[in-house]
Amino acid sequence: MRFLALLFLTFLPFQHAHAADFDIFQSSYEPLKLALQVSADDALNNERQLLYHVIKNDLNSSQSFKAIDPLAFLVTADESWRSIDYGDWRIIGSDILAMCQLHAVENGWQVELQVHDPFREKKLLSISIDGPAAELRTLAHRVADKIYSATLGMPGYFTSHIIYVTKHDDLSDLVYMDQDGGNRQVVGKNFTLLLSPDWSPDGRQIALNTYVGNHPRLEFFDLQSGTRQAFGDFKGLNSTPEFSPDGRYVAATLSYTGDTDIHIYDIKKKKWRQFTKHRGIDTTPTWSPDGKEIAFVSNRSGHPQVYRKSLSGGEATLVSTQGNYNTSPSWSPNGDRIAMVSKKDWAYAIATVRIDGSDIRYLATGQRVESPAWSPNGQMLLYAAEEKGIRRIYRVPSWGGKAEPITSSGTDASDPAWSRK
Amino acid sequence: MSLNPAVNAQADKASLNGLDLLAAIILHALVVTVIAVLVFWQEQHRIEPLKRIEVAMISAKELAKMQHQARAKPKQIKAHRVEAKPTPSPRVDKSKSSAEEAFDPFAPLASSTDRKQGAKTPRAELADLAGKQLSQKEMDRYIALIQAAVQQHWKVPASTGHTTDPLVEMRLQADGSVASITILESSGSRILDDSLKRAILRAQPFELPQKQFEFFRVNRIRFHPLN
Repeated sequence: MRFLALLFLTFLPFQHAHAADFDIFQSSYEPLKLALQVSADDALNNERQLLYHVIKNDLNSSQSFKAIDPLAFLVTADESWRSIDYGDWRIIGSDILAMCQLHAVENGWQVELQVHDPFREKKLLSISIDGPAAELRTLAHRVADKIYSATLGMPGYFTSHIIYVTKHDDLSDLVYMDQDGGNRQVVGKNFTLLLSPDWSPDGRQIALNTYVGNHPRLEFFDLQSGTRQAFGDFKGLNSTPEFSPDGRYVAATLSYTGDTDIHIYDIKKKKWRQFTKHRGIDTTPTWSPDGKEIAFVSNRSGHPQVYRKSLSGGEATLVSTQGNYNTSPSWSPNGDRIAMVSKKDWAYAIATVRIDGSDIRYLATGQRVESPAWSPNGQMLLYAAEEKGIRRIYRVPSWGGKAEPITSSGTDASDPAWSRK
Repeated sequence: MSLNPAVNAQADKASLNGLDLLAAIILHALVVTVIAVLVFWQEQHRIEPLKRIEVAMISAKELAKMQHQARAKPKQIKAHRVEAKPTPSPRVDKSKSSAEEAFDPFAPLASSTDRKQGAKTPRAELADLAGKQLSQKEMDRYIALIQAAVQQHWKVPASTGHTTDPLVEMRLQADGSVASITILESSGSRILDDSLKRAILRAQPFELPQKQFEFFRVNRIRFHPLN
């Protein structure tokens, strides 16, 4: 009968284009295995090591890559620069092969970089990058950015910077560092109180909420010169400034009208205008990346919840729909999500939601989790949390990887802000 | 004389008895044969009695499709039929004359010996019938193996934003290696599209049934990213 059926079907001349159809569901996010080879002349061994470690650290810390131990490599850097056998890299499971060659050139460094995909047997990038002699670390970050973008098709964030507030005794300092914790320095010393710094889009200025005695005010802090300039000093509350994406405006919370509302400051015209007007408390504004909307916290419903409102007018719409406590909104640079602090089952968590309020994702919980801040490419979030009485800054991938502290367990750190590029 | 009719009658009776016996023997033989055939039949098809029904049903459906195609591409069908059936029965002739009349599920059975005369089977049909040769259970097992292998190697390394579920055509070779990968419907994200190709390439070679490989020559996979 089988044979007959076989014959029966033999004479059906229709075209059945495909046979096995099935579905595959993503269960988690997983890093790509990276084979990273950095080579240089023997005389440059220290520099080679530095380059290797900075690049490896950057890419590992993104949790999008996991560097393979070089002991597993089957070929030396010299051999792979002569010719690449993708089989050698597939056999040790490399999703990505990145080869860097460091040269000393006049007034600086040059890195030749090639990025390959051994499984797809494809060269993704071949480029030469130059950098000044004193900035090998920065050059390494730039190389890491190139590997990241060649592989993932979106910009890296390894040349970006972070500022945060550290408190000692009764005073606060403003600290600046590279995103990997390198080049750390105190840029503003001994403020009475320092809250919610925000970085201007050009990276030159920080908008701050400082206190003079007991009175809060808003200031611009110039990172180059260290000069301070007050721009919001009204009766009552002056707090939570945030630059618009084009750098022309600052949105902040003011209460001189009697109500706590969101106001917008025009930096060029040096003028304020009221944005929200409601009996409840409206605070912590955050701009959409297109600059057309502002999300903020309001207790107009009786509980703190995140709303968003268009700059062209109209009613505010509710964003957060889960639970009765959602604060500290921060709009993703990609525009699709808003990060916030959300209370879930008696614990506070860093969470993100789509801007229509759907698909809430809890990323991290902890004591006093506060102030989520996005990486420039929207893949990573910083936040502050308390551990054993010390506040520290953590980073966690926006898709929900492992949360890792980036400040030491010995010093207070809070209110992180990530540069916008 | 008076005895004669009795003798005749007796003879008649005897001959009648002989006939009866013959008929009985034939009847028994027939019954035994039928039973033997049925037992043999059952023996052959004991495992999947439902499968025959399934094949017949699908075939009818396919024949309907064939009709549709016959109308669309009459030339191709004609050429194929000539090649496949060198000794056509009248019924087959009829099917040649009109696509409507070709709808006869018994026709191919009549030319069952053609198979041995080197008739070539188009690949797509081979795939189809190879699929039907495998039991659903076996097929599911091989599909599950491919699914598990691809899923295990599918690494999404970063958030991809809002995307649609991509559809990928994966062509395989008999040794289970990948012949080609085509993204039929992109996810809208390069990271994701790249990750699909890499997953399949990492997962190969796949375990495939040797004889029924044709079923797995062309596969379509719908991926569902988390977003």
